[in-house]
Amino acid sequence: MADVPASPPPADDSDGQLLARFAAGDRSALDELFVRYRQPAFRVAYRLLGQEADALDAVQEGYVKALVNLDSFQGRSSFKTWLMRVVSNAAFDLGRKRGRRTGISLDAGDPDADVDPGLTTWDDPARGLGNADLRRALDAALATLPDAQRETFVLHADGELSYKEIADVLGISIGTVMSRLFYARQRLKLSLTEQATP
Amino acid sequence: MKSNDGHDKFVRLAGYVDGELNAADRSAAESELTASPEARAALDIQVEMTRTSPLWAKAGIPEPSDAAWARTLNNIHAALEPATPAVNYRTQRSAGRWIGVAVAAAAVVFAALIFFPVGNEGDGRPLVADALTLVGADEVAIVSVQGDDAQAIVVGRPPLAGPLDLATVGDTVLDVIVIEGSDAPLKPVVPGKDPTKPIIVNPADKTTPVVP
Repeated sequence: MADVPASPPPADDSDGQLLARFAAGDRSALDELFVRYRQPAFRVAYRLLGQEADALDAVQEGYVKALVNLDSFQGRSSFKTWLMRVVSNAAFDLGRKRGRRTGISLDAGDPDADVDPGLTTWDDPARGLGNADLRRALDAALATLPDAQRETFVLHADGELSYKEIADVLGISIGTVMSRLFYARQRLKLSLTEQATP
Repeated sequence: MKSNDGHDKFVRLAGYVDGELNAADRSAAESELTASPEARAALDIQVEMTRTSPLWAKAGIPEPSDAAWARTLNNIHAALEPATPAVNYRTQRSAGRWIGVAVAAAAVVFAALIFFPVGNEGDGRPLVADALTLVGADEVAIVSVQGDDAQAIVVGRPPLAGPLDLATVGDTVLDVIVIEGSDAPLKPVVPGKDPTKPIIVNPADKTTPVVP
């Protein structure tokens, strides 16, 4: 049974050093990589799946795939960005299998169209909502986003990736990242407002 | 919203609130904000929906328990082990009945034997024709300890005389079996009339079941 360190290791080996140790058979290196990135990985999976158990499954699958396929990423991005991408994919796959968060198809037309970024009359969407209610409202709002927008938004907001990191792992331009984030926020605001309106 | 020239008019405001613009674009965004109330309204939304906003913090994600983290890490270790069998155990999370007892002595494991029903189930009585050992005593890891607040459990003085029975039928649940390459999870059938008796096998002979 592997012990889970309570906090990140003080030695602060780089990801590359930890991966080298892992490749050499040092199981504790995996423990350190797990502690280092489990929280953003979990947050990404949770936002995409909306359920803790499923999110942990996605994290598990993401770590396994990321480590099994290390050759696919090395030299192109950091382990963190690679992991977030794999976890995100795992979450989408799991969501499809289990029928959650179907969202809007990317083929459903221009997802960026017809969203007015200048509306000023919306009420505060958080008004009257408790934390759990607000989380559920945000989950529901996220589920209305097209897959590409949702993934980009979650990688940024919960995976804590920069525009460049997102662009690298998704194979898109920084401008596209910016555009997806802009419209994702507009749509989220609109959805939250609609939910908060009696 | 798109401007007449087809470009996304306010898209750069996302980069502005995230600090992702270069100096020229930042300056252009600020000019736009100065000149356009519409731009300022759009900016307000971007600010409200950033990851650092109070709204987002208020809707924070619940943190998994230490046991859940430990279980996930152990599953990762198990999946990456070269000798990992092609069977994954999914623990039953909701009821919390998948109870393993961690001990200080290393390499204490237990094995579970399960049986597949074969034959006609139409009479309502599953028929067990043969036993199938899916895991050996050295292939099952204890992944969590639930209940109480014990940080350690005393199990005896070393050297231990023999294998320990760490779980019984009553506190171990095997709820699903997933076989690699198959999309359909199998529902295990574990026959046993007396749930208080263990289904532990002798680690020295992992093909011998002890089924009540």
